[in-house]
Amino acid sequence: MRALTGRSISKRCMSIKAGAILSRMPVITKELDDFEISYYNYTSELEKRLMWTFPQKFFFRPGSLAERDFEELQTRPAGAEKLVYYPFGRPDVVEGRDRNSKQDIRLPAPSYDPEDKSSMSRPIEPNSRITDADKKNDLKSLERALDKPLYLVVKEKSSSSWVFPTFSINEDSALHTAAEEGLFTTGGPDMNIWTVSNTPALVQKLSEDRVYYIKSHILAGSFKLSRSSDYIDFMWLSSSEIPKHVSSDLWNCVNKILN
Amino acid sequence: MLRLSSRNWCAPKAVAQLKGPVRQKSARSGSRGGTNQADQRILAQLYALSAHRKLPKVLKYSPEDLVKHNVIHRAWMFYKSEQRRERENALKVQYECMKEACDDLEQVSPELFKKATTRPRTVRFPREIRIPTDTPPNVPWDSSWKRSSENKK
Repeated sequence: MRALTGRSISKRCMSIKAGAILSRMPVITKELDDFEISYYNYTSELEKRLMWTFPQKFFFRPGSLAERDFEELQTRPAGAEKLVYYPFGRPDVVEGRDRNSKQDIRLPAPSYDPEDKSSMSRPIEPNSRITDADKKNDLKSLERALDKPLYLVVKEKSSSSWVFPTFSINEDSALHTAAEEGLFTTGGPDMNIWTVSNTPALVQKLSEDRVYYIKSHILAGSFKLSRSSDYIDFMWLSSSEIPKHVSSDLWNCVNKILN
Repeated sequence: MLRLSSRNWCAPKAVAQLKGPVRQKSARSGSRGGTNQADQRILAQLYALSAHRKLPKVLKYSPEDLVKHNVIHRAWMFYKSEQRRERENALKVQYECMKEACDDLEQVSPELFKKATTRPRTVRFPREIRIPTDTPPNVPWDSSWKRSSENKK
């Protein structure tokens, strides 16, 4: 019965298309907001206050040169004197640490050759979270907005509007294979794509037509638009930038499944 | 003293075990103190790492500070629960979208529906996926990746 009704509807239907929502997952963690920063700061200070005293004798043998170098950098708090009033509490110095506050340890910097870039002792310089592509606002680059997922949108040749890529389905091919093959024919084979599931994540109902969107991730490689495809341009956009370019109908439909 | 019942009185092995600890000379002990140099070193290291004379004072909040601390903690718990709720809602919406798409596909094209809902026997989770880090790697994106014969689709 179901098969019969299905067939009758599919005859009425003009076309079924497979859409691809190709995303680049975030490379770096998301920006912390002010509340998170202050909370993490508070808890880390609390943790430092409740920490045991640094076991100096374990790491620096008493009487050694290493101990002398270490000792030179430390500022030891003064112990409590008799007949002195301490407005912020009497210091309780044990093993060179005031037990009422956190211990401030300074480690001697290891010597290293500044010319030698592979030296293990060189100071760690983390890469900037803002890349060149961010500064240039290069919408075709995958190195932009590293803390957000980016989604591929393409410009149609016929209507010159920005859409998510959609592909027609051949005989005896499934939705996910059609979407994958369509991406390779439009964007070139040099993309490492992982399709999460062969189940569609979303349906877009256009009077009689249907577009079923398949979610997939790009893991490596780059999208290079081929000239023979139905699209004339492409962009990698974060979900906050997509509504500025795509039509509101499409955005209202797709917005539910974007992160 | 331990009294033995008549039943296990004739068990000399058990009696020998019940005699209590017998002081034995350690095979390793060489020096006069009972422990040798290696043992003493380990003891010194353990002492250096022990809690002795290393514990901070117990944190005593004033009533006002305690209120502040509780407010901070409760605000954080609320913030996290809000985040969790938003995430669960988003997942629910995504699931509803998927269900709607599948129900619609079943009506429109049963063949495609069958292909879309049959689960593959083995699912390959890609090893290339990396967890987001605080700072980007030296090459943020490998754009020169080429499809070779080994990783053919």
